[in-house]
Amino acid sequence: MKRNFIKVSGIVQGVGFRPYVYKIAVENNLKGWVNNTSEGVFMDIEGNVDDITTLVTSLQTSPPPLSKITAIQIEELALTGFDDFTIKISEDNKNKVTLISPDISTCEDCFHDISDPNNRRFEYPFTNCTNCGPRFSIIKNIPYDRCETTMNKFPMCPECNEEYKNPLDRRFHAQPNACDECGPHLWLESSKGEKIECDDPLEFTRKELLKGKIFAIKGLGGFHLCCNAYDKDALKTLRVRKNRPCKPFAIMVDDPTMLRQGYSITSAEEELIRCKERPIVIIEKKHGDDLFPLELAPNVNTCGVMMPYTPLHKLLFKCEITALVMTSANMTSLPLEYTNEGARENLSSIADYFLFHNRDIHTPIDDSIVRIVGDRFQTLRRARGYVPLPLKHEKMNSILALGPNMKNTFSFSKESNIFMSQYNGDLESYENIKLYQRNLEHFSKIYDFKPEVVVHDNHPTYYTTTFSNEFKVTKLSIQHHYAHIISCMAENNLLKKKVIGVAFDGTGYGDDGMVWGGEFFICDLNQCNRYAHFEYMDIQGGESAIKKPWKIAVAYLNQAFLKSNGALNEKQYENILSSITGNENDKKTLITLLNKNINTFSTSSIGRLFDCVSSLISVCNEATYEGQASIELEELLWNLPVKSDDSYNHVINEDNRTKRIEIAELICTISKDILNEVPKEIISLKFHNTIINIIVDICSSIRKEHNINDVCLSGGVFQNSYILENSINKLTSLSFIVHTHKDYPCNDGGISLGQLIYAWNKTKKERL
Amino acid sequence: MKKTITMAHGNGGVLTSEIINDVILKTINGNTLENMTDATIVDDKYGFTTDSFVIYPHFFNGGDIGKLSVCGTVNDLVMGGCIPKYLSLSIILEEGYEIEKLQRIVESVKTTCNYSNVKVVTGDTKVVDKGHGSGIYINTSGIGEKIENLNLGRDNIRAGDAVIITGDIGDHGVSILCEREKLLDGQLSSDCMPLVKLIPLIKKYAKYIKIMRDPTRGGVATTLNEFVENSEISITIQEEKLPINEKVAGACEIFGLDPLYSANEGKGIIVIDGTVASEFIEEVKNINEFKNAAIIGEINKEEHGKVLYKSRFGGRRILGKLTHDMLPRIC
Ligand SMILES: [Fe+3]
Ligand SMILES: [Mg+2]
Ligand SMILES: [Zn+2]
Ligand SMILES: [Zn+2]
Repeated sequence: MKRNFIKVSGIVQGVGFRPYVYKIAVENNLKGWVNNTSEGVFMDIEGNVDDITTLVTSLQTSPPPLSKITAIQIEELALTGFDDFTIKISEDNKNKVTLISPDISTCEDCFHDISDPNNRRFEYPFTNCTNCGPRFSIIKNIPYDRCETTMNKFPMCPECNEEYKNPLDRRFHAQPNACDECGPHLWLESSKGEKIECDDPLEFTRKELLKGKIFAIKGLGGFHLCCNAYDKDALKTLRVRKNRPCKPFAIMVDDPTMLRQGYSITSAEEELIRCKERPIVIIEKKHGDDLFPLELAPNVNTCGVMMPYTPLHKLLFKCEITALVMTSANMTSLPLEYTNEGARENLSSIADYFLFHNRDIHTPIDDSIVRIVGDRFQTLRRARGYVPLPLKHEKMNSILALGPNMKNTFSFSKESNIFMSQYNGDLESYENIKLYQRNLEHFSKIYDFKPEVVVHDNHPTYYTTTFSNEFKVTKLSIQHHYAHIISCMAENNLLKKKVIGVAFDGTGYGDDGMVWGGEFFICDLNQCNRYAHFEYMDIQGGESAIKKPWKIAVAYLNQAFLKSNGALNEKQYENILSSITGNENDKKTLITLLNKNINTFSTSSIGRLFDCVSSLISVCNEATYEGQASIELEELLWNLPVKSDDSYNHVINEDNRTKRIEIAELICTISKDILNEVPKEIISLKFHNTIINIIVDICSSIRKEHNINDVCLSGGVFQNSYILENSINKLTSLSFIVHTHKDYPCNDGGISLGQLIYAWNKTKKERL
Repeated sequence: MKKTITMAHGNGGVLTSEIINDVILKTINGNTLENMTDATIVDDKYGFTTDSFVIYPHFFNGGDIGKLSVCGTVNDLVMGGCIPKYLSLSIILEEGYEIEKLQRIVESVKTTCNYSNVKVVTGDTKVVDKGHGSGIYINTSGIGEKIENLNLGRDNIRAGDAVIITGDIGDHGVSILCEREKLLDGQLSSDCMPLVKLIPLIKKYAKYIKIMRDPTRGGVATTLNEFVENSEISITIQEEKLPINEKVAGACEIFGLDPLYSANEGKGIIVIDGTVASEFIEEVKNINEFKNAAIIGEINKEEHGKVLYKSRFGGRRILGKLTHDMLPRIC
């Protein structure tokens, strides 16, 4: 006989841990108790030495599916003589970090329950159990108990309560447990807010979707706008009403195998589509027949697809419905709608009908977006299914990293965990700022977090920079692209190394007050040297130019011509200039403004260079969504069955010991190809290959001079899969070790992680 | 603060406040300047203000440096709640400047004074060496009579008050830019104009008016920020209510500028009790010079010390003061 006190920490709350322990204890004749505290699961166990070992082994080898154990501590105590084994109720203890599970897609058992006509949960849209269902989005406070979730307003019926109390039941202490009798329910309203009486709201929804109607459907983390993905007219209507002419829509399908007809899906991709996190997975179209109307994703050859992750979603796929558009429901520049009132107020001009329910979403959270490039997993948007899983690190002080202005996430450290918030959108919008503040307050509350250090971007007019003044603690700031690289280093365990950092994106405030975006660094956690950058080019018109690639094309062409020393003659220049789509007078005015330096700024951004080329070859002159010009330029490559190595020459000069990659000459060469009527696809390919060659060249010269072999690729440009995949391949073939982002986005959504690590390193040293 | 003066120190934005607060006010510490109004009431009876004019070109569509130098001071007095009475006129000339031009400028001063019912009662003239000025600089100071029952100040502003602009936004700044850089050949015109015709209405609504200001440098956005910064209230203005001349809007679109940050020289922003706002605005619009006046927003408690801009599509953004470098934040 032995008595052990066992502490299990990690994600152990709300994942069926106690019934799991109970079951093993009862089976093995162990006595004592198990409980759930905010420090983790505690158990006091008395029994045979072998039986206790059985318990500990199964904790180590086969814990409950949704749990993630980070530590098991065992302490021997004096025997006390327990009579039986009991589950104690939750105790509140706020000293340590409790890990909260993300929202997890419905498990197979629950899907089975709702499809079995004899089951009492047949077709019940809010079915869940300890292995699945809502978590993060419904939690108001910890410990994770029903009374601290938005399920607190639904008292359980006797049957549900039985399940909830029975340690051997799959729904034992499943906090959102419910049934049709006692739980949340659905109802329908028209766009005018009138309730629609019908027996089966889901059947009504399916029928109307097939008729081409648009629905706003309340899901797990917020509302979706939904229509039949095969219905060209519905897609068009949705685009007009949402004022979203081009940006691709994501779809939901119940059976991903049906997509094989129109898309090339690898087994790794299919596995990802089916994983319990249920993200949106980006897949590529096959050449040949289109499965869906072009309006689903105009000018783009990929599609974002996800599978149903709640019973509600699953139940939409019946009758003839096989693929639905499921796009986040929000008006331009407003955050995702997640309350019934907000949806009524802001979506009534888009949706024909609302499918509402009365389980409140406490914390809105978007669908995550992921992809596989080559053989690497890449997260483009980290939200539902992944947040709030922490990144493990050594013990840290409490740091808050406020994140960037666009695609914001914030991160904070608590003990040995780094938590990154869900995607908060762009902080240019006041509504997103309010969401950001609300999410920060919520995280601070549930993790009992108070920052000792706050870190923000160097940009003087980012919202986060102003916001940092509200914290009366140590403040640090870091350059945008350096934070990108550190974020990549953190994900790849390179914190003690010196690396080559390649940071390519749209914009970031540089150390010299210019707008950076095409940077090569030699850096470690302590310092960052700018080894090379793209030539500064002037852009006129401030932020508004970013939506107008034609302005960038005219600006770059004009500067290239002025610097070209005859590489481009006057006539050639005029010809190219007039080939750029746009009003001739506006172009002239723009050139005057540029030459007089009125409202101009200088940038080394690669994102802008992509915009320029995209517009020069008339692919995209006005962007209706962020990154459109670059994306459509890359999409041209899909048309080329064989992709050659053809590229443009690139010229690298040096001033003040910093290498400068010349753009003017590149623009001149591209212009000549345009004049020679080289196909757009070929120009795009040569341009892409040139960027890759530049990466390889600069990395090679850094290695030669500094003997560094690790390369970190970060920044939004690496969402371009051609650039990413080929840079990796070429660098790898030259025996570089290439590190890319996996679980955290390479775009600005990953910046807060880099900021946090930077601040940790700085403040850690100061304390020694 | 930077160690030398940059052009941005004169743009009416963040850096301008920095030199005023950190260098000038800190040193002088004269308490009459402390509440940061453009015209100061002295002896409870008189308003006193001064303004310098360094504009180039000296002659522009809609006015000249002479007209502007009267408008500037007159408008500061009117917006400070006074009836303008007397002006001083100080002229700094550069060696070589044509007397014919000076003549035209002074005539313009006279015409504008007549319109405004003010007299130039004192003055000064200096000449500097060639190369030490850009032809002509003018300084005017003005004295006015305080309007009774009018109590102006940020502290009077309450949630529910309405924000009124007396006409189209941003004309002066954009048209001067076009004029100076020879863009859009003379399509635009400065709004340069004295606001004296508002005086009867200011008198009539004296007890409802909370604060007034002419949104010159830094534009409407910067002025509105000055009304609420460091306070418990906020201002929400609505895009669809902003009166903007089509040509100015077009020019701003091409230049990538925001009319809300462009200077005005003949506009008043008036914060008035919400209960009389619609009645007041009708009377303002009945005056021909102010027919485009509009209620552009309201005071609320949505935020502390912020100006919010609500777009046509419903989303809002924070409208800051004019900053030293309007660098892009967006990818
Ligand atoms: Fe970035
Ligand atoms: Mg003044
Ligand atoms: Zn389940
Ligand atoms: Zn029930």
